[in-house]
Amino acid sequence: MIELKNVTKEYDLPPGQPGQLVAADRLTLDIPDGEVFGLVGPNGAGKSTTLKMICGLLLPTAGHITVNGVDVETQPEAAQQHIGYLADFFSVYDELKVWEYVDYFARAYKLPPDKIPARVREVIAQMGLETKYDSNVATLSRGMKQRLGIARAIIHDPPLLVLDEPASGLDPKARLELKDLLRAMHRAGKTIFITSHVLPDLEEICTSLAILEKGKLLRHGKIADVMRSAGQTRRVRIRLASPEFALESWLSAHPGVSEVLHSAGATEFIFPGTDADLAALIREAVLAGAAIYSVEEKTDSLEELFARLSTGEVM
Amino acid sequence: MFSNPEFSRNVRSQLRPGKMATSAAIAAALSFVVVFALNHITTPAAGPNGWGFGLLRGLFWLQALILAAGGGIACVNAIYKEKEQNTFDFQRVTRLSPLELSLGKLFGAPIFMHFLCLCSAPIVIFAAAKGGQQFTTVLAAYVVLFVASVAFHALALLLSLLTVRGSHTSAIIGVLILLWMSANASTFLSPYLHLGSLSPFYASEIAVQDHWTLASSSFDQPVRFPLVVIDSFFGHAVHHFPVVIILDVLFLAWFLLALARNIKRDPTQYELYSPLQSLGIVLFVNVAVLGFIRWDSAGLMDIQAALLTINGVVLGSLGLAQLRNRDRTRRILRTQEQAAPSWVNLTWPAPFLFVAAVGAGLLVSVAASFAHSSLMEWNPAFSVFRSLFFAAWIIRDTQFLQWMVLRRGKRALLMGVVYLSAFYACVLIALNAFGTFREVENLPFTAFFLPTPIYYLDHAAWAFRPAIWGAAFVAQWIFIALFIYAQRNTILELAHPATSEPVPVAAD
Ligand SMILES: Nc1ncnc2c1ncn2[C@@H]1O[C@H](COP(=O)(O)OP(=O)(O)O)[C@@H](O)[C@H]1O
Ligand SMILES: [Mg+2]
Repeated sequence: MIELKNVTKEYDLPPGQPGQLVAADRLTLDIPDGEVFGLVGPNGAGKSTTLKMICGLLLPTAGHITVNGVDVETQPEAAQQHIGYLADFFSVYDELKVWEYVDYFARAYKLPPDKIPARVREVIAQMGLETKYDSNVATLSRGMKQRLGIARAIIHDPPLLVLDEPASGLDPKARLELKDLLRAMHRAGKTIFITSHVLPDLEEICTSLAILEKGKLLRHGKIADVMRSAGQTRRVRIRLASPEFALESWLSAHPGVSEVLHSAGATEFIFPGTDADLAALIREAVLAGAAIYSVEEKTDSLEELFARLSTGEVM
Repeated sequence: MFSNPEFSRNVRSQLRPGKMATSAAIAAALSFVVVFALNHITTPAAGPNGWGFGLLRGLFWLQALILAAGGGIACVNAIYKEKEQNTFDFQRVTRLSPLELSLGKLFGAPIFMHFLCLCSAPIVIFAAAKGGQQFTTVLAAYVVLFVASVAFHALALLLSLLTVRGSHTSAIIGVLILLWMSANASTFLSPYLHLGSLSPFYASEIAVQDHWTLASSSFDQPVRFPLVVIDSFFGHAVHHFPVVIILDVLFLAWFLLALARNIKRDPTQYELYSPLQSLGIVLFVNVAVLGFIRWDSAGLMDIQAALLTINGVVLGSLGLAQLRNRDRTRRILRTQEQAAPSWVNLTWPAPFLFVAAVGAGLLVSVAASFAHSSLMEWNPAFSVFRSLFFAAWIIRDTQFLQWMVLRRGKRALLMGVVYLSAFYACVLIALNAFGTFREVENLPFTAFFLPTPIYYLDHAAWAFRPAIWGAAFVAQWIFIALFIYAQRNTILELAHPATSEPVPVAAD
């Protein structure tokens, strides 16, 4: 759906600082159809710049981008018909009514005129703004304006949604609604390209992920692959119903187990084996008399992964 | 037009029924008061047409002010505000073609001003009836008002597209100054051109013309109110009305071209016209000006000076439009250049300006040599020399600005223009103090700095101090070489890749 080839964008650093700022450094990405692709990175990593280049709003300093097989630079209008774009900061036309706002974009995207009124109603309902249909846009709350922005982005039913930090500034309830909406879009077969500087936003909904820092792609691929390739190991935590059994020393004696820690009624350790190996280990411990009532597997959260990647621990 | 979404958005947000009713009511009340007052105050001695003509003239002047100035300001706001509020990007990603978007804004942004003019139509019709004015004349006045205003709106919209953050107020002041200049341009140029005003304010003159016939065949005195304005195009007498319409429509087309070329582009990559289109504009302006020139009314030297001044303004503006900022230069370097930057890119826009300025200078010279009478001295060699000198001067200043624009820093272009203006102010003060303008043998010294002396350069002036004239000419090219050298260094600095680190290997 989206293909980036050596896409580079250079800016000037503020006056006084020599050299230039590379907001996107030879990015090469291929995002297949139907993917929910998350682009994470701290503020100033170059996420918005990358998105704007995909939408044809900024021309890359070098490199090529195609969306749905259409070159964004040479045929921007043809490419834009496949894209629904939501910017990180935007405002809406305050003087218009909600339906007029959506209607304007329906016509600007050249939907068939006879289908427009129905489509406008449908999208407004989908965003839960039916009650505001005839209200002035100026009277909407922040979250409602965000939803109106999404209504605008999906009005022409594009196969690709490009969303720049859609969750920022929303309250927790609105965030949940946004996630539900994105899941529904995903089920409907849309490709979604979404950015965030907060990882938990993406963790649950993305199928693949790229980590961007200072314009460079640190990692990209399927979520699980990204995590595994970062050298992630399995950390297991076991809780005992009665503390009589000396689990710590029992585990330490077991080959392969390392970094055994005991704290507050739980024992944590690192285990390199497979799932079957772990099952065998637990069986053995139970047979040896450990009153195990809980076994948890702790995976690195994306947050921790990101923290390690961006401090150069892995790179 | 109503199927244009951008136009109907403007109509929807600016013409709410309540607002329309209020404005219409106020206009009606004002009209009534004015008519009532005039009916009572004016004495019967107000002229053969009563106060009808006076009112008609005033009304069209007022409408021109509302539509051109008010609409112009609305247009300056149009794109600037959208950019400011981050709504412009959403228009740029729609499927609206650049021309649709431009047209929607061109007619949509000043829609409220159009409505106000419509509100004053009843009193206009009343005044016309009172003065016994022909219907066709009033209609013609409205056509001029509309067409000239729309052309001006297109210019204002173009300015809005180019307005960067923080220079909004200057843009509005600039538009008002442009309007004032366009309203008075014909007065400045009337000694040289058989051409009436092209501004919307001409509507107030045509509204009170007596008849449509081209009565006068002598162009020596400008024909004034209440008679007909007559132009002369290559010696043929023509009514000013079609001339205004045609010229304003052509200007409108040029402005629209620039708008549609750029409105959906990345703002750092704007290029108002392609070099070829710019040459087209130079040709268009020169043909138009040469068509209307009064060869007989002034000395050939004065005419040539006027022509070169006009060309200086046109080429200066087009030169500005050809400047390349750092972003564009980077892109050109990264995408077009294989090894080293080519000489055209290193010296841009000098090649373009050289062709355009020498071409325009020669065109003027050729036209002048066709028109010259045997009484006057006319030396083709000097004519060519003047063209080259003129080109050198334009290139020198533009190249300086190009170098300034390529340097790092905020508002690089503005700073360049400020330095250039300061330079000219100092030069003028200094030269005036030394009195170099007063004596012909000192004139070549001023030619080092200013182009004006070369407009009048003839054999006599040359004979006084040929060496100094030559030195002044060479000096221009030395300056140009210096600026190009500085520009070349900046470009080479930009051409070095920003990072030489390898592309990070990503996980699969
Ligand atoms: N128009 C611009 N001129 C100069 N620098 C810019 C411009 N836009 C963005 N930048 C810089 O480029 C970097 C990336 O910006 P951005 O893409 O907005 O990051 P993100 O969206 O990841 O927070 C930042 O350091 C920012 O300061
Ligand atoms: Mg951002």
